Amino acid sequence: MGYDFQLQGETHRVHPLYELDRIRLSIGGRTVEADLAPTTEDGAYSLEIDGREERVFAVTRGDVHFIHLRGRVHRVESINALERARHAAQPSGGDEVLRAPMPGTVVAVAVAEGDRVESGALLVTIESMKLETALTAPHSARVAEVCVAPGANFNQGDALVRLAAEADEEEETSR
Amino acid sequence: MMRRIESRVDPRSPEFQRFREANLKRVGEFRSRQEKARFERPQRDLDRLEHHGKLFVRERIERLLDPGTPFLELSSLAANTEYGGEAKSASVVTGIGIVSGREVMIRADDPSIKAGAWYPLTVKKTVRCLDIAIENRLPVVHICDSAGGFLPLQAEMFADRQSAGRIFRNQSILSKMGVPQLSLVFGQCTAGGAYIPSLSDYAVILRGNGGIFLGGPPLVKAATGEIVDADTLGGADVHTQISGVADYAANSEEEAILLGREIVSQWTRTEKTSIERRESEAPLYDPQELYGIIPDDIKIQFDMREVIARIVDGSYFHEYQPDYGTTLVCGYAYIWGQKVGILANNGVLFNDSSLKGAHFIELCDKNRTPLVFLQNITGFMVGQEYEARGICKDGAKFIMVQSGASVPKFTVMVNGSFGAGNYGMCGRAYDGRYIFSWPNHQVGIMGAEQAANTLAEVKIRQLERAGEKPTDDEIDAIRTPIIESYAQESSAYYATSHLWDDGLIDPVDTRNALGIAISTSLNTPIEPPSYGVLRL
Amino acid sequence: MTRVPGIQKVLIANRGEIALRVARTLRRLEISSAAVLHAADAESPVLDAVDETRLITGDTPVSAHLDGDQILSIARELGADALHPGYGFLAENAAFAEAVENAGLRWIGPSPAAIRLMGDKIESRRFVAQAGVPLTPSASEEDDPATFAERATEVGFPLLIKASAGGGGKGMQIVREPAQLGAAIERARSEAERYFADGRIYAERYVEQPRHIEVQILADAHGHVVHLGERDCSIQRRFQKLVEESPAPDLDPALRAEICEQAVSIARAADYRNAGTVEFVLAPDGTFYFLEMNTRLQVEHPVTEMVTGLDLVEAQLRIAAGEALTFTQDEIAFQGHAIECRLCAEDPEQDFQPAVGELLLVRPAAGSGVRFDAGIRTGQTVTTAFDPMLAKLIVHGASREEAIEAARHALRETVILGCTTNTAYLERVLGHPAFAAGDVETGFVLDHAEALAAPALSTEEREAVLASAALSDRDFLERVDAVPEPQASIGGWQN
Repeated sequence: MGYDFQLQGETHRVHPLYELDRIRLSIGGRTVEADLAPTTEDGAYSLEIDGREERVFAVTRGDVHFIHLRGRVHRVESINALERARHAAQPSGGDEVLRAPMPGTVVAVAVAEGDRVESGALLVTIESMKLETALTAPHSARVAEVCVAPGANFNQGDALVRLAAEADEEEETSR
Repeated sequence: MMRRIESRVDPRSPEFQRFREANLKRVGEFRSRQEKARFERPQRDLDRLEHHGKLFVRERIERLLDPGTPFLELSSLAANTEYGGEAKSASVVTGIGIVSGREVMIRADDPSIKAGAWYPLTVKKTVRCLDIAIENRLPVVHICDSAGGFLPLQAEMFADRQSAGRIFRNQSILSKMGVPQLSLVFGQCTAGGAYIPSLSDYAVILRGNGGIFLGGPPLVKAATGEIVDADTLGGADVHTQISGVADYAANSEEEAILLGREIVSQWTRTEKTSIERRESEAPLYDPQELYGIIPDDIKIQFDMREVIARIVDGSYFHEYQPDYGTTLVCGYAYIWGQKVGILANNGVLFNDSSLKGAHFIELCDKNRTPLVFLQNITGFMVGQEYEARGICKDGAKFIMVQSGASVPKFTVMVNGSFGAGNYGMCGRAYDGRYIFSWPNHQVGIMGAEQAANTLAEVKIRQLERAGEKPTDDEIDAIRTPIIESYAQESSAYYATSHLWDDGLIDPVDTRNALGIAISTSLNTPIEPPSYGVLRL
Repeated sequence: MTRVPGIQKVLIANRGEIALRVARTLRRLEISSAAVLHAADAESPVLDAVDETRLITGDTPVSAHLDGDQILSIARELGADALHPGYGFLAENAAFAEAVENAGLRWIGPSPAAIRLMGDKIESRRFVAQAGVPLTPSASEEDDPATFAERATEVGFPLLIKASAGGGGKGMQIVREPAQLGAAIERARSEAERYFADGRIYAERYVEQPRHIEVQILADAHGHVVHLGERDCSIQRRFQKLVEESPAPDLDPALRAEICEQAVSIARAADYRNAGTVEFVLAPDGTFYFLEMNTRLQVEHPVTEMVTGLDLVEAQLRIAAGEALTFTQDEIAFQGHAIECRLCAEDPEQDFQPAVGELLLVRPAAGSGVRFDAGIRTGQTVTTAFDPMLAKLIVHGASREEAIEAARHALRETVILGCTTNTAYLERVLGHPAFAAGDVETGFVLDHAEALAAPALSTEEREAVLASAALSDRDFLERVDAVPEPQASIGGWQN
């Protein structure tokens, strides 16, 4: 268990090791003594690591840390493990079925079988109890099947659109 | 400031060496049995777990906990003497850990043992862990993965006051108290088990393996003829999209656990009751020396101060009434920075030591100092002189005050715990927050020898009234079975198997266990002191 | 009263680094300064470096800076009596220079006629040939469009197709085989249209492994022409200069003298005025050819300044004000060695693709002998709206070795965070043995691509980087601190 950071396309695990009077870090499995102390200069720090001192510049924007060490700049992104697990875990069965949340009628169909859609793209517009609802794609995918046509009636739980995952082809999140 | 205990133990003495060897052996055996209970499983059961994509229960817990933080497991050897040893750790793992910076109680079914089925002792251990959660206001994380009750033994775990129903009652009370609960449903919660997530504030259910239903598919078919598969009946989608029985669906155990951590990170942190504190410090003397201090024979006396010196911060100890009632050592110390009042046996309890004990408990109760009882007691002093001086009422005062004490109480069964001494010194029945026992611990109404002698004595008198005199063999025949059965039923393993304590621990782990235990107890406010009538 | 009689107020018609550079000299000479800014440059440090600014608008930020009418009317509105065009944009736009002069303002640069002559690559080559300066074999499309491809083939492969109105390395295609010629001509023509609004192209023999040697010229309105030494700009990527130095390493003194003299003779023949640079291609066999003349101040002028001790912008201002040069060729002293590195927002690991991002920290290297001409500061956002060059690092040393050492040190000390830059790459270029040996030629970057690639991180470095990131990460620190006592002191214990 630990907290993951991405550097140069690889994931590295860092976790704290608590001791009586200090906290050490385990980095990629190796125990390291590290302390980052700010200096009077903006963005400049003194990193004491394993008994030696390194001068480091560090700034953060959101989840990305830019680190200047020994003349080189590195981009380290902290990874939210839950986000990553959600992306990784695919529902079993491959295709995802979007079902009607309540009984109603199909007003319009915005996609066709084979279409590639982005997250949030309009798929089907339905009407029920005088309310129109737009059903959108929960993530980018390929439309495997459109199960209804405009004007069709459906019951709660009926399948409306079947989506196939696009995980292999799509570019990972743009931040 | 405070004085440190001056140790008089000589680690080079032959006695020390002898004790040490014996204790290393005892601890070695304890660790070995614990290791087996924790990890030894038939390969086919582990294979079955893997086949279903399930993580081992300890793996689940490790991922749930904050990295680098301690885990205090409770009752690891529950049920070790029962059910032919099948129900390792009573098929459930309970313990206190840190999740997202919060102290929580974790209760996790172990599906590698008979698909996680509940034995009577599983129920008892579960009820106990929820009792601890109630008393210490500890949030609870349930990892549910059980096939339900082990039906052949239902009579022992269904109808009584502390049986399975108590689990759900405890959950309801926790909720009433405002203490949050999270359930991670990794298996099928059937019948009663379905109430665990239903009574939790937050429930995460795993797609695929997870299911919640009052009646499972076979029962449904038997009852109404309806044929329906588990997922359609009570799977993740049904409960998170339609019924509202669960709150979140996850596609993998990893995702569910991470989601669980995120949920716990939303829980409001509560302030601890304030007690006296100072910066913590390791004991001056090496806790490893405890192995050379605890005798290899229950009859051999030792100075409890030597034990105290190897548990408390800096070995500092302020002894109260050092010259009075010397068979009970009383005093203040700190454990991981938390001030406690310690009562420790150095012999039998006399009138004066009983009074001293009652008095010291009053002191601690009044100035809000938690109490730690270190038991090594064979009983109260008997004999005409002591009865005349009122040892009954003195012992009663001790019990009265101890029972009524409002401060949290903790007990360590250091060695023997026999007779009424168990009572005064806060045995199981006295609502101590936690009891931990050492592997050398023995507990019983009286010692095996004493019981054997007593019963033999009764038999001899009986025969003498009839004009007979028993032979040595006949006496042996009376004594031996008693000694044997007492030996078995007084052992620490028997006690912990039946949950007469909250777990066996290695003596060197005592400071850490108490440190964490005390910390959890401070989630509950300390009431003002009050007790019943003291027969003065 | 300003220190340059005749010039009270100068409008800087440029942006970024060069605008700041010009402003610095204007401040020193107590001349009023004004600049034009597009909204995309709202955070630019130019705002604080000049006395007045005005907003310019256009379809794109670049087009705003190419809008001569808008800029000239602003200059008049502000009462400027001179205009400095910097480099790029309108600096070599003869029509604009003319309009400025017609409006009664002094143009800080050469005459419109000189700009026009040298701006036309075909015309200028013809002119220079007449002046007796060697040229690379070439063919111009204009002469006879129908036979251009044929004549280009005759020039011989490998050859370059270039934009006639071009410069700055844009609109050029290398063609190695006849089969590629047709497509290259098309591409070059469309790029020429796009960048220079002039689709005329010509073909020129491509000298392999050439060195790019250029000579700084200074000429006043009184017929004095001097050269300020040569610069070697061989280290390039995609035909754009990356590292420049003066003097050129390992250049035969006689050859140097000849090249410089040729440059001066071209300037004289063209009746040149103000600052300019004559660029040559030096072949491995020691022959050299005229490439082009840039009728403006160049990006890399600082290396000349550091070696001669002169302020070229000041010289430009004085010449434009009508003053005569106060020194002769012999009085110009060349001391030591200077190197300039162009710090650009690009990723050398991704084929020098332009990079964008908010500049979270800009901290130049300090030190004597280190000059940091930056057009950026902390807080600015780098976009693809403008050229990727962010700053120039110029270092002077008593010798070339010293200059290299000082430049490498300065590059390591330069901190730019938030947008990928080529800073570490430049340090590797300067540290390459071939550079130290003076084996520079325009193919350097490609030839040594493997050696110049970023080395893998050592375990030590990687751990330091990760530790720094973790200990800067708010979530990480929050979670670490969240663990209460005594658990935090007990650590990873289990019973």
